[in-house]
Amino acid sequence: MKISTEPNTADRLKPSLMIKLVLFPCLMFGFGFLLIPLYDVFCDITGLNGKFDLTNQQVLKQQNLSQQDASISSQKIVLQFTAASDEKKWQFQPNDSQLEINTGKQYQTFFTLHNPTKEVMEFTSIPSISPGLAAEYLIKTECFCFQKQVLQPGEKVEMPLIFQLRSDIPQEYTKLTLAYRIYAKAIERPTHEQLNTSLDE
Amino acid sequence: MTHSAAPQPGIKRWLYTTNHKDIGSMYLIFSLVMLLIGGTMALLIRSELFQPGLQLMQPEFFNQMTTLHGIIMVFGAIMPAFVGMANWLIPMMVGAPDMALPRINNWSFWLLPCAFGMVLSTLFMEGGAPNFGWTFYAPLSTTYAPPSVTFFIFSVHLMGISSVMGAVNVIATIMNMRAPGMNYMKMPMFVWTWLITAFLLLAVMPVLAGVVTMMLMDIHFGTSFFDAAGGGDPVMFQHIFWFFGHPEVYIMILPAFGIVSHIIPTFARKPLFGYHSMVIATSSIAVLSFIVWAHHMFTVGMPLVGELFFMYSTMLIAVPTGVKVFNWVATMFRGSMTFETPMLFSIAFVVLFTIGGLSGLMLAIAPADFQYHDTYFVVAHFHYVLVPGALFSILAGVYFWIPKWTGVMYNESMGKFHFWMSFIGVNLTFFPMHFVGLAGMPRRIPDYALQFADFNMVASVGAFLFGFSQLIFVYNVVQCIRQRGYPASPEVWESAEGLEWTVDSPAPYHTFQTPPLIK
Repeated sequence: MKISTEPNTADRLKPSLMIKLVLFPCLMFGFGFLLIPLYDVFCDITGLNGKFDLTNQQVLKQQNLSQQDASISSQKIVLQFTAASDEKKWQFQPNDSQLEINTGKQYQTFFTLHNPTKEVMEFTSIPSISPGLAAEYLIKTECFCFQKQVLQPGEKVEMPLIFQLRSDIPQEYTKLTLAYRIYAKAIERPTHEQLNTSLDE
Repeated sequence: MTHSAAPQPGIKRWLYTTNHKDIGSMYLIFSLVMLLIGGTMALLIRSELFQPGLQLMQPEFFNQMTTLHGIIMVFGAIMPAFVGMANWLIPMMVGAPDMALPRINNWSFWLLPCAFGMVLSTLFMEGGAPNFGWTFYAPLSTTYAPPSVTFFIFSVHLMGISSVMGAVNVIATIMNMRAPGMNYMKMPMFVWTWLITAFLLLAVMPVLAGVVTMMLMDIHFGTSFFDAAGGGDPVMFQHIFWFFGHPEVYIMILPAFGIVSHIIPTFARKPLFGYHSMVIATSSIAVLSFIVWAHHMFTVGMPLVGELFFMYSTMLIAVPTGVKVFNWVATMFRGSMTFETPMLFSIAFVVLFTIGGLSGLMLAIAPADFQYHDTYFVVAHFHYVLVPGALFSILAGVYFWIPKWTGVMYNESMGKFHFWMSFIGVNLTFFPMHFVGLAGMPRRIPDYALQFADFNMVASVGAFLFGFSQLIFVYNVVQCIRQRGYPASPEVWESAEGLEWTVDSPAPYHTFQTPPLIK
């Protein structure tokens, strides 16, 4: 054990420790950003957040189609559609407010979306199924929520949704609600002239 | 390298100082000022809530008050007070001449007045101060935030840098500058708890800096971290925030555990019961704090597995915490106890912190939390762990060590009066909040339903009692600084243990230039 007669702060400080102590917070700063992809990876692996990715759905669909021939009884279930948006002006609504459907059979419905603004808008739709535990039985083959929808100024579109319900859905589910909420984002800023004209109006 | 033997004259002493005692004093005074500012905001909140209806302020201003009260108390009062104590005490407790990085120490202090000057300046800005609560959930703090949010973000960056540098300093001091013979298991509890706290700070303050940076980018640079329109997720904000936020609550309580573990043995005249288990319990609390964050967000729509995981892991923390409470009680058991002011505050800490811990356990039960979430029950819970928890331990610590810092005994009867007023005030303020919370009163509202009126009136009266009784404390401290009082002996207390009691009172400007030898 060394007892220094003239203790000096700098003498007793180990540089290796200091490097670690500086490096660690820097890494943790990066880790904060890394958390975002990490959550996604974690949810993909465990399937914890109810998001089923496309490849999973394809597999499920094929299994389901092969089962379909064998299945004798098919349940009738009421599926309701609701639409909401961050602003009323998008006039986002389902064409059918509800459908009575048979499990194991494919259906198609449409949602209407209108862009009354003078900007090119990009729409992201977030689906939600209630009751939440029934989410895994709804298989979407095609959905406008799979990618962002880009609408030109004044454009009105009917967006398809092709889906089916797996026939092994438990009996207690008689009514499901499929809700979409749409979030809009302008992808091109209006030029100054356009802005001025809109202000004049 | 030479250290100037005597302090520089005038203001330069404080601006340029690298002395751990000067910097510690500045931290403590700064946190006292912040406590009074944040406390004034709390009293404004309580005056508005004295009666139902809008009396004194508009809801917008009320929201600014709750936000600033939270930010100032957490980052301006509690944390700097603990850093100030660490500065004063850790070098003396481990027998070191100063902190390991004196210049960084100076810088990390002076960042704080800048950060809080910036936060307080937002009150005078167009659009008002931040109004989204101290947890600044997106999109309230991004899409719907007042323009002053940018100043808020940069001041959080400054606070973060200050805390991280403080933590680096503490770790370097403890790991490199201990007196010969002081191995880890001989370190005083305050040093141990601060070492663990410093590691928590290093791990989570950068994450906080990261999350405010993401907010900044969402607001000004067109990214969509928390904006669903661009493919982001607002719930992600809560996950990242609470990944910081939960360890943060232990950052605010672990040093308090350390302080109490010094005071109770002194006044019970017995060594601390279960030193080793205290160290292990503190470490396990710190480790567990990283895997429980989502219990703050049970209601966001987590899968069942997630709810269960976070529920059980949260309840697990009650075990090491229970060990600590048991040890404090066992230390007091059959001790020759006397009840000087520091001891009174410490006993109140043990009792009231346990109440706060138990309501925390209630909140940890996921199905029950759906009822309690965002109600005054939560407010009651975290004020019980932060006010009679963290703040009482700081007050206890100041009374305990101020004779060593100033060389003068504080006024004991005034201290006891301060204690009893605070004790009654705290319980009057926060206990009724449990009832209104369970009955369904939501938090962060300027107006409330009539059936909550009586309890809110009681709480407001208690808050004013508590708030104004702190002026007794301020007076007592000022008298000590002005050297009005009996001179204190080097030991100060009859059976206090530790190296800091071997030096004179007041502690000389430089201590342990030659390290003491620990047997």
